[in-house]
This record gives sequence, structure tokens and C-alpha cells, in this order.
Amino acid sequence: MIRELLFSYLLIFGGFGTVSRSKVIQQSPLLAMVILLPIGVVLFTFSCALVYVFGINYPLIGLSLMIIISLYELYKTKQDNDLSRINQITLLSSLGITTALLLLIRILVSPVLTFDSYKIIISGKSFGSSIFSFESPELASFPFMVTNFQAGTELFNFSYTVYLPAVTGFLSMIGAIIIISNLISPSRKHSLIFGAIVLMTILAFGSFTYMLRMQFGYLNSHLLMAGYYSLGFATCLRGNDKSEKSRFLHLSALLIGSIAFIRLEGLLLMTLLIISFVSMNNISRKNLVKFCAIALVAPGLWYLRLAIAGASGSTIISPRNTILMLLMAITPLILSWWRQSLKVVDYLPNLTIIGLVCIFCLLLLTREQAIESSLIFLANTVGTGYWGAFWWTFGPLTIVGLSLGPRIKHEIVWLTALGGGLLLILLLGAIRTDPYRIGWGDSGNRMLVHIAPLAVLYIAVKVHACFGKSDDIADEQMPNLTCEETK
Amino acid sequence: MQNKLTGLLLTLSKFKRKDTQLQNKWFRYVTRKKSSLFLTILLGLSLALLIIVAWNDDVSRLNEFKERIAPYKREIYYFIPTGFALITVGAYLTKQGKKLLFPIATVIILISGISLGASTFSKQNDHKWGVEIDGPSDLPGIAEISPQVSARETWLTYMRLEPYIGGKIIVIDERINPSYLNAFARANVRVDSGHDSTFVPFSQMSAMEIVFEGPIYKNRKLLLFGEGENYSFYSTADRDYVVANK
Repeated sequence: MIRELLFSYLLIFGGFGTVSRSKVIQQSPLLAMVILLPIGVVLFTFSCALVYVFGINYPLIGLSLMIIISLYELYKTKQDNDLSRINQITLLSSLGITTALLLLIRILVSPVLTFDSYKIIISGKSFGSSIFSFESPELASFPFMVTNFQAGTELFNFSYTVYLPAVTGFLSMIGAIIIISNLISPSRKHSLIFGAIVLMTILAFGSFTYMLRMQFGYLNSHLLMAGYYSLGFATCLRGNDKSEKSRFLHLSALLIGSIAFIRLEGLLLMTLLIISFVSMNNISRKNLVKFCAIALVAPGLWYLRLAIAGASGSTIISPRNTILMLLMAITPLILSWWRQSLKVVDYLPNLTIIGLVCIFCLLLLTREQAIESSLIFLANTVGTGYWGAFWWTFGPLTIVGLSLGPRIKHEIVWLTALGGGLLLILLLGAIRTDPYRIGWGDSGNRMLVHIAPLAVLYIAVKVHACFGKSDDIADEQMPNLTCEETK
Repeated sequence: MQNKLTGLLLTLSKFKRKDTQLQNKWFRYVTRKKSSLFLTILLGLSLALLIIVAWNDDVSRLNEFKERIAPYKREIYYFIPTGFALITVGAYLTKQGKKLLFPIATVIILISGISLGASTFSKQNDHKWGVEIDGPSDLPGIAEISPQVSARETWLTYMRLEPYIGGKIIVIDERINPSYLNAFARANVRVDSGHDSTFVPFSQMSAMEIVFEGPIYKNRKLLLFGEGENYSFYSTADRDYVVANK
């Protein structure tokens, strides 16, 4: 346990430099405390990926690179005179929060290791060993972030880690709640109440729902994805605030880019977030290059290296699919780059959903497997997947909220993240070699965890919109079609 | 006359521009305000298509689906439609000006959901992959009680090899999967193309003590012969051997 704690402290320090430089600490110390570990983990993952891609098979070099980046960022922050006492307090608080959570989760939940969990350990332990090879099918069968956690355990001489990824995912989720709470109201009191209610709702359902509760002890990357997907999406929303744009761009890019490393279908989910990001933000070309460099270079190089090695471990990752997914991820950024295609970017979320629905309907009509997988997925969602009352409750709420509920700002990007995420799960079930299967352990059922926190947040934001003066923004007001105007 | 015509054309072009602006405004309004409704309808249509396709299916998948959800019939057939109805009424009345009805309906559904979740706790949480408070946390301990045969036998056996061969060199050939030796036994695996894993040196082994013996999936066994700094790995149809190089 002490070794796992030491590992987490080093990762927190890894995130400290970047978060300090982004000035989040001055803006929202609570948010900074919570996201230090997730940001550190992202930097650790990116550093290690780059190190392995260039043929350096030493996890220690990746960890050292993360520390060097953090120290450089801290040096730059100090040069700008932005390193103050509040930074130190934030760092210490973050260490305290992580320690408390690691201990608490360890007491409450025992580890759950399935077939995939053991394979993740096997794959992770290959990094830095004599058997490491990019040609290994296991490298293309299991996501890099969680396997890299296991590689990190070798540095601290313990056999595996399950609670550290879980705590990282949970903190990312809390980070998303804090960002959205801060966005919905300028009043600190309202934000606090909103955040507390959302967290309490998640915890209340989590205590009764096996699929949510077990994520804290389950060695896989679903809680990581749920947390980072929500956090990445929340930073997209916050990035829309013009005053925050430059500060948050780097963090947004880091978090959105990290999605690619969390699951094998991560490149697709990352594309959804990139679409959300570019459709909400008018980014200058310079910032677009920065965003692309931070978010796409490390994942791009990693997946290209896998494609070049011909690694093919699942239906999703094969050289051809990898190239296609990378092209999909970069397309929204290219469209934002060209001034002529800027108008298309505005409608990109709509086009994405329409495209996904059309493909899904086409597959339903042409592939038996699409029907089989979809029905099994539905059965798991409502009964056999150990979701308890979660989707019985949030299913109707989300559907009605989406169609008839009060309008909220950027409704369409919420729909892209939620509906797009759901459609991706259904599509993956339709194109797999084997259809989804009944039971909680089915991958489609497990992937549903990724969008669960966003569903809760979406409902909370919808409910909050009812208390506002008007949920519409000025430029969305219905145009006045009076005679005076047409004259 | 020409001036009048020019003036008329100018007025017409102004009118056209305004009309285009208005159309653009409408387009923006419709795409922003109504797009989510349109997309929700689209999602609903895809769900409807799924039901229709499943209904017409020869394999009667819809019946299988009904059987699978049968244990939760009460919740699915009563709670979900009631929830839909309540929240729809709440959302509709909120649009009519009674703003608090949507939040109230949401809270009612949330509380009912939590109560229902608690009432189905025994049904939904009673299975062999339980999340216990006092379960084992070390890797061999978890593997030992795992419902998975591979974990209970193969992986656990390799984990138990660690005290003997952890950190030591093991020579294998290219046909052997080195993952378990590397990850669970934490041995330093070397792939040697000159080594033949099928050629078991029984004569050399006869003089050695069996230090460790463990089961491997499908009634196979793994045996560790002798102690040393270097080992070689051999494999036959029913046995795997780790033999110390003397």
C-alpha cells in the first residue's frame, strides 16, 4: 500500500507543474486539488508512450520524462511569479485527498480481477522486460493507460495496481462535476450545492448498483474512461468561456488526447470530444496547432507504431482501422483550419449523430449480428447487466430531458457526447466478430459505464435550467418575423 | 425611367438580402433550437427500427429478450413507463410556465429509483464476482478464489513459482509464450532460437529434486526441477518443466 501511495504521489507531482502553469490553482483551488492526479497520469502515459515508440524500453525513462516536464513547467511558473503559497497548499491537499481515497476504497472494496484484468497485468509487465515487442498481439488487445499503470508498479516493486486507476478515474469524474458546477452559476454557493447533489446522486446509485460500485475494485479501464470522458467533455464546455480559453486549451487537449489511450475504442470517443470542442470554440490557427500537437501527437505516434508493426489484437485495432480512426480524429481539426469549412464545423455534431444513426440503421437492416448485439445490450441495460435501477431511472430522464426538457446551452454537444457514445457502443457490437453476450461482464455492458456520469450530469444541468431566469442564450432567440422586420 | 428601374432593382435586391438574412436566421434557429429534438427523433426511429427488425426476425430474438428481462418484469413494465409519463408531463408543464414541475418530477423519479434499486439489491448483487469488504488483495489470493479456471490453476501456479525463479534467467524457444513466466513468475525470460523446448532432458532431471509442482489448465502440470541461477523451459503435451541448468 505504501508503495502504491508513493507511486500516486509521484504522479500527482507530475501533474503539479502543468496545473500550476495553467493558473487553475488561482482560479479554482478545489478543481486543481482534484485534477492533479489525473493530469499527472496523462503526462505519465504520454511520456511513456513516446519513450516506447522511439524504441526505449525503460518505464523509468517515461516516469523521468514526466518529472522533467513538471519541473520545467514549475520553473516557467516561478519565472512568471505565479508560484505562491496556495500552490503548495493545493499540492499537499491533493496528496491528502488521494491518500484518503486510496485507503477508503481499499477498506470498502476488494479487488475484482477478470480474465481481461490478468491479461492487462501480463501486458503491463511486458514493458521494460526482455519480451516487450510492438508485434505482440496483447499490446493491441488492451488499452495503454491501464497497462502502463501495471508497468509502473514494477518501478515501485509491487505486483499490480487496481485502486490507483480507480481513484484517478473517480477524481476525474469529480473534476468534471466541479467544472460543470462552476459553469452553471457564478454563485459559489449554488455551484457547491449543485456539485454536492450530483455527487450524492452518483454515490447513492453507486451504493446500490453493482456495475458502478464494482468499478472501484475492478482492474480495467472503465472508471478511468468514465472519469476522463466526463472531464474532457467538461473542459470543452469551459473552454467556451473566452476568458479561460488560453489557460484551459492545454489541459483540454491533454485530457481529450488521453481518451485515445484509455480504451481501444478511445480514438473514436476522442473524435466525439474533438468534434464537441471545435464546434463550441472558435480557435485560432495557432491554438489549433497547439491543440493538435498536445492531443494527437503522442496517441497518433503510438497507434501508428502499432499499425506499422502490424499489431492486430481485436476487431477494433488493426492497421487499417487504426489509420482510419486517426484520420477521423484529425478531420474536425482540419475542417476548423480551413476558413471555407468553418460553417461545416458548426453543424459537425449534428452531422456526426446523423451519420452514426444512418450507419446503425444500415447495419440493423443488413447484419443479423447488429440485431442480436443491440437486443442483448438492451437486455443487459435493463436487467441482466447488474445495473440495478440506474438505467430504469436515468433512461427515461435522459430521453425525455433530451426531447422535451428545458433547453440548455450547447445541448447539441451534450447529445454528441451522450448519444454519440451510446451509438458507438451499439455500432461496435454490430461490427464485432462475436456479438455482445448476456451478463455484466460483456464489453458493451461495461462500456455503458463510460457515459453514466455524463447522464447524471446532464439531468442535473437540465433540472438547474428550470431555476434560471431563462435557459436560452441571446443569439438563440427565435427571429422576429414581424412585418416591420420584413419591410 | 431608367432611374426608376434602377431604384426598383435596388429595392428588390435589398428585399432579397433581407429575406436571405432572415432565412439564414431561421436556419440557424432551427438547427440550434430544434436540432436536438430532430436528433432525438432520429435516435427514437433507430430504436423503432430495431424493434421492427427484431419483431420480424425468424430466430425470435424478441422472445428471447422478453425471457431475459422477465425477472425484472415489474420494474421494466411498470416503473419505466410510469417514469416516462411522469417526466413527460413534468417537462410539458414546465414549458407551459410551471417551471418547477420538471425538477419535482425528476426528484420523484430519482427517489423512486433509489428505493427500487435498494429493493432489487439482493437480486442484482448476488453473484460470484461479488465486491466484498474483506476479500483477498494479494494477486495469488485473488487468483485462488477466482471463478476462472485459468486463474485458479495456470496463473496461480506461475505466481507460486515466483519465490523460486523470480529475477532469474529462464531460456525458452520462440514457440513458447513467455508472458506468464515474465508477469506472474517475474522471471527474466530469454528467447533462444537454438533452444528446443520439446527436447526434455529427462536424464539430467532424474538427478534433480522436484522443488515445486502445480496444476495448469486442462489437466496439465508444471514441475520445477532443481535450484540454480539459470533455468530452461520445456513443454510436452501434459507437462511443462522448468529445469535448473547445472
